[in-house]
Amino acid sequence: MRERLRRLEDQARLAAATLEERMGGLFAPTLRLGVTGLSRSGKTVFLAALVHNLIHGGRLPLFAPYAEGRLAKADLAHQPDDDVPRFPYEEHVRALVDERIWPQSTRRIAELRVTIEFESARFLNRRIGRGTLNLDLVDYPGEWLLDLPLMNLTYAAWCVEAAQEAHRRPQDAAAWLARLGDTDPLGPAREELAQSLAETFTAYLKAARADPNALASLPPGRFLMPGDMEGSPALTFAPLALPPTGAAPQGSLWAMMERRYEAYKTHVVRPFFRDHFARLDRQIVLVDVLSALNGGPEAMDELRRALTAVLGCFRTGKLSFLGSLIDRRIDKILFVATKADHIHHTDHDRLEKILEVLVAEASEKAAFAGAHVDVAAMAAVRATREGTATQGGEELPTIIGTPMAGQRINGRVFDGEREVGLFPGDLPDDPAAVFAGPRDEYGVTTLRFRPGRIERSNSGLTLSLPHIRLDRVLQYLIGDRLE
Amino acid sequence: MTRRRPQVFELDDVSIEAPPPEPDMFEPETLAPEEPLAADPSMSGEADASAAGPGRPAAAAAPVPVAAVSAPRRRRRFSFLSLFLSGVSGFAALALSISVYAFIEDLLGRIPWLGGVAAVLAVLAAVGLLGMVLREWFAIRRLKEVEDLRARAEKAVAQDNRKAAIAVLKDLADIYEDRPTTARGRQALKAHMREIIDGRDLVGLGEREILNPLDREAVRAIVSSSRRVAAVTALSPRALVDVVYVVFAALSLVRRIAVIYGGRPGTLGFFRVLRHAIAHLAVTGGMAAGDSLVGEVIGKGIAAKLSAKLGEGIVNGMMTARLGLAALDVLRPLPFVATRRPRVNDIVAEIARIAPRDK
Repeated sequence: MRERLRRLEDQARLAAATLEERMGGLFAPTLRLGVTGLSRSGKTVFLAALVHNLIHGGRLPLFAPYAEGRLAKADLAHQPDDDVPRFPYEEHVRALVDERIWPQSTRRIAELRVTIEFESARFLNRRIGRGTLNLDLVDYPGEWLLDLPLMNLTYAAWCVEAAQEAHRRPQDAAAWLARLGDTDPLGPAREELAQSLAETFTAYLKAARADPNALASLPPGRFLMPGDMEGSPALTFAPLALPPTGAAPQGSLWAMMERRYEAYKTHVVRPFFRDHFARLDRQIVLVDVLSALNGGPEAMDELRRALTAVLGCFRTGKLSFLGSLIDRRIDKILFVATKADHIHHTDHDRLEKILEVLVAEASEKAAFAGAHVDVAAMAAVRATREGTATQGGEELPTIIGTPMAGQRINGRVFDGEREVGLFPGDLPDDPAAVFAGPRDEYGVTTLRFRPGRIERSNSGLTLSLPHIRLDRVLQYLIGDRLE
Repeated sequence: MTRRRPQVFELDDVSIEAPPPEPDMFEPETLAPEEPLAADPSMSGEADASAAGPGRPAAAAAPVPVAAVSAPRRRRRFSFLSLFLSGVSGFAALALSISVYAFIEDLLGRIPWLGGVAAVLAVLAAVGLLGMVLREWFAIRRLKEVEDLRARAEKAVAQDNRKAAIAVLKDLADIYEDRPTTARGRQALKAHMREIIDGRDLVGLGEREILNPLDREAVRAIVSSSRRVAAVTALSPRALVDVVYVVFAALSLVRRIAVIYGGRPGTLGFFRVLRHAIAHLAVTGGMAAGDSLVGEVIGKGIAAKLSAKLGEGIVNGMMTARLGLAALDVLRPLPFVATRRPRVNDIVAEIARIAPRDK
């Protein structure tokens, strides 16, 4: 009952906020672009590259408003929420261009608004519309994303799920599983016990994430990236081995944990969702398919489950005109395989096919609800060039770049300065093959490259960040709103 | 199928060419290393490409310049009519040349200087005929090239094939090499081809960069032609005048569109275009997918109510527009991928907007 009331409250708030925004949006419409991706999928790089290319006018031949010369100006503007840190876009770009390093993993939420001034290609719109679009972007730690499915899970259900996940990773979870075994959920609630349980649980989560083959971290995300809530009771809980039926007796450990779990949902997950994901218009889902491929079928399966669970939380579909006044739905979703510059372009089609299989369930659901769905292979910042190496009479499509310091392949360690050519290995022709069968030892490398040197034009101006298909992605996501 | 395993190459060890290797279209600006890279394969891994087993054939993966794939030609079937015609025309040509020869010889015998003049005239005529035939032949070949290009572009779009699309765009740029208005578009296209862009998008870019100005010119030609037809029909006192004018305007419109897209079509080429355009018109009824009959019927109705002559004018103008659009469809070297196909409605709106003012 309380649950339902809470949802109703969220809905009402959302409707009010949307109505207010739509009224204000008559003059300067807003488009909230949701950048969804697990940790290390390239959200921050994508955002930095997107903003940089929009503002500085990169090479975007497929982004129609820009290529047709209708985009007059794009600029950073005041962000809508004053209590959210600003996305440090300049810092990220400087790091990419000057130091040639990838941004650090994101530790907290950040926001940015880009105002695009354009002229409509349609006569009527040009007369009526103002020709301004506010593009709102949000960056956040990918670990938090996996909290979203918790919204629909009770404590008992979560305990079952967490135990299942733990049994999938026996090495990392050994200590915690042992602890779980000898803790009595019906015993009295003691704070030290709760704390030490939470600590063991957090240690397990951290170990699971540190696993090089792990793609999706496990919820709750704040245990890994606590932000400013560290040590608060809402972050001091852990799943327990609950009896299959019955309710929590008063004063028991079970009751305390359950209350804290609910508090976590109320104070952490729900606001996060409400403030940043409930009001999206467009969504881009970034997926690091190449790393998952290297992790083998289990990693692929883990990624598929995580993505399906997360995407199930979003509100996709089409709205009627009146409905769109008080509600928002995601009407276009783009699934993107990031880091496409780590393979040769002749393999991009295969990469897209694999991604299609990976997100099939989620994309079917979205398409059924009436949203447009597409997939693409993209590199928001392109770190490699391409070439061909001939060996033994065979031509190998090769990428050329500078591997990051400390990266290794076949026992060779790179120093981060030397440029090498790499034949990254073939992707399978049959996308289903990567989900079945044993892990392929000869898979694609995950050798990581440093961002390339940015070319400077003759007059010394820094040219835009190179990319692969960022313009196509932009056109799909916001092109129709700039027509 | 065995997948080839990853391996690292030293930059100086294995010759790494700048992709894709098409010298005049792709000046390798940033992709090509400064000095030629020498040979001797060595990788840090123990792997050997030959040991990795037969992977994907190298040709499939490596960027190989694709030769222009010509669409399968329809074989002309043997027919007795053509046998008869070639026999008759050969016979006539033989008879003609013999009689000319005999005539000149005879003339030389009788009045030598007149014979010399006749011989020179005959040579002139022969040279002129040869020139005409050659020109027609070139014009027709050019038209065929354009048709072929469109077929290949359609295929590249359907398969989203980057290599095929690049070959198409190269040919497209060649066709318009002597068109100064496309210079910037051609330059931009060269840059696009160096980047990683999918086949379908590349063809769309070709449309936008090169064909956009031409499209606009063609639509302008159609609009002005239909408008004139409409005005003349509305104003002409005799039905015969309209008919003659409509036919004349339609023919000159088709020729103009042919000139806009593909240079001079020549006489035979022109007939070929006309035939295709009319066939296209017959198949599609001149209706693009987005056109609605309702609007037309209603619009016509209102116009006819106002004045029978004006209604007639609009109908004739619309017919001219249809023919023009059909010619545009037939003559445009790329299919409509990224650009919206101009529709009859667009042009009718233009005619209707201007018609009262013209009157």
